[in-house]
Amino acid sequence: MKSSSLFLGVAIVFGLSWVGLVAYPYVELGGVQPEVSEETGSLVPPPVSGVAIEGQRVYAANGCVYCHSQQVRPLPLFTDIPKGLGPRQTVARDYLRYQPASLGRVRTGPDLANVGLRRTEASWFYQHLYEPSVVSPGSNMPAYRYLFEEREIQGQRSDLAVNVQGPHQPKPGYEIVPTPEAQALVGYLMSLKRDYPLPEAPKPPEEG
Amino acid sequence: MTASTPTTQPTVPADSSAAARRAEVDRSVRGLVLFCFASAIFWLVVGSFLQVISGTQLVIPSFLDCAAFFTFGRVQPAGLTALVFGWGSLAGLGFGIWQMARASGKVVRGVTLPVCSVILWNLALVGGVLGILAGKGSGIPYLELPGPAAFAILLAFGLLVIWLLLTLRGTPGQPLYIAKAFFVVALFLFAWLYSSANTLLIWTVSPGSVTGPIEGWFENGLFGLWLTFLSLSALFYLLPVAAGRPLHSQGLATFAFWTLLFFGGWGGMRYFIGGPIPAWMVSASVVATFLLILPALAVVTNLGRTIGDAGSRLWEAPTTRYLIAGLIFYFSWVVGCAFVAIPTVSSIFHFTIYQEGLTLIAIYGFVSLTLIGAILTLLPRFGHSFNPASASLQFWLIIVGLGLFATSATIGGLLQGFALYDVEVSFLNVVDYVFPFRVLVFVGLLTVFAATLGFAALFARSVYVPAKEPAVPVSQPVPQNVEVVA
Repeated sequence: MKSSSLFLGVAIVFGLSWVGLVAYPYVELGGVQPEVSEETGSLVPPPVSGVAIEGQRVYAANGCVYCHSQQVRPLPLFTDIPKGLGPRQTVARDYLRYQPASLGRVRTGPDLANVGLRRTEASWFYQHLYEPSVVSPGSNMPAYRYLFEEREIQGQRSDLAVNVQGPHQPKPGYEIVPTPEAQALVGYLMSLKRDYPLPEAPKPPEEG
Repeated sequence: MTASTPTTQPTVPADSSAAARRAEVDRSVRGLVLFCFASAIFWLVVGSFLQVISGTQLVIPSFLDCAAFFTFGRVQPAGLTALVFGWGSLAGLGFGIWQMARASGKVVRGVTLPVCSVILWNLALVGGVLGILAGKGSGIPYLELPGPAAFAILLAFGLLVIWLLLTLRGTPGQPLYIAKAFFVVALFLFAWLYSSANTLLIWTVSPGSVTGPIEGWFENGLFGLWLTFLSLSALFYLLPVAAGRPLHSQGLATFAFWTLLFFGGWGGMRYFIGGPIPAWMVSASVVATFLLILPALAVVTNLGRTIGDAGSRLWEAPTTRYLIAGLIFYFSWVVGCAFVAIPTVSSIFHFTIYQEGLTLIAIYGFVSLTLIGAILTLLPRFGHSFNPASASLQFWLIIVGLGLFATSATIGGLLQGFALYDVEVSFLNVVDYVFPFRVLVFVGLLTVFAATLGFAALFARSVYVPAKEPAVPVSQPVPQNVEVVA
């Protein structure tokens, strides 16, 4: 067999997968737009803040995706919804606002597709990131103390200062405050709420 | 489909002038091939070391949590990147270069360009891995390397391939045997996979809705095509040679080649069963992942028949034992992937330690055993000495590690999976259930790391320390029969 015809064959056979799994989704899914929901009259998925977009980069750079997934799989085969991971399954449009999406391969830690629905206080996120094992005893998440700084209290205590519990207390007269990265990350995590209605992902009926 | 065969086998009569010619060809690429191997082994040790660190952190979360540089989410991808782009890729390229030189029968003059390419590749990877540790990673599995590093790797790759094609292209009309077809096509696929994925996800910005399909397609192609083709190329070259007989069936080999290529491209959406991508893509991937068992069966049958009753002899030899084990782990890995692609099974096993175990089996079982076997087979030709006892020890250490990975993946994956599935079980309980298996994986990683150190020492000693008396004659033991297939 001539090598030119071999490579033509290879290009066609392998190219099919490229057309189907790369080019087609790039055009079709990449072209999906936010739309105005008939149910609520507002834009879905809702716009996210610049802080959340910045936080997505912190999430990516620190490899959160190597423990946390962000996908809610549908009933009846999967139990993600009854386990409280989200009110409905997630679909491609849910990830439109983030570049890239962090779908994840493992759940060494819990799924975060809707963590912003489960936890609504920034202070909880700060405490958790600073010392996970104190906030969630038994957690195997590493501490992210490097996302915080210890600084001398100037006058009043900062609004952002972490209410530190556990072994890594600040020196007397000092406080622990989140760095801009930590603030962005928490902004991102709190933005993760996939509860708005989407026509392609109806909520399953509530069980009685 | 272009169905004609890329596989015919010339039978060149063996005589002393041909043997002398081969020795001359070997000498001309010795430095280049050994440089590829040495770089690859460096990355094998570095990657395995980083895996040990991240494995420790899964057992002791506070381990090295003082600095951003060592956080789990950076060490883990840095290690995997080193293993895939450093170890697997460079070792496979080194073997392929030797194979192409042998096939062309040409004595290579001037290796400056390829040596510079490999230097550039190494520098890009050093910068890239440090970049990941410094927080410049993309957060997309296996596409973590920062844009400039990925570009430099592609550039180095391009230069190397251009040199290969210009220098070692076979003479027109020369038949293309299957091992070479796997290698040459692997080069083509890597260029396509890596440039395409980087263009769409790293060098430019795409909306998050397309990340899933593209990263799945890339990761699947990286393992299922690039690393698989490199490793199968070595197996198809070396096993018939070691057995001293021609390949059992050209037809089966051709069948495996084309089915692997066809289904291999489509498997990537199995990571997203139930996930946020169109259902037809997932269905296509589930079917493709399943059908990949066919080429795997064809490969195992073909090489198994080729070896035939030479099997026990090959298993006794410390080098070919690696190759046979690599073949077995190839099949186990393919079946393991197909198993978890069944949607019902996926609802339990997906997202668990099973997936992590499968990756380790692919990297250390299939790819590493095969390529270490290939390097060890060439070592007597290129090095000064060969230590069979050490080769044997490293083999069993890796097997122990792989056994621990497999146990944790299956039993641990089952427990973790049912706990994740069960509505009554809280997440922190899931962490408790899987903990003992994470300890096992950690022990396995330590064992494998010890083996990589031993292998690196064996290699360095053989290549850099002149032996008082050559332990094995240079033309021994395996490549004597190379002309049977090459």
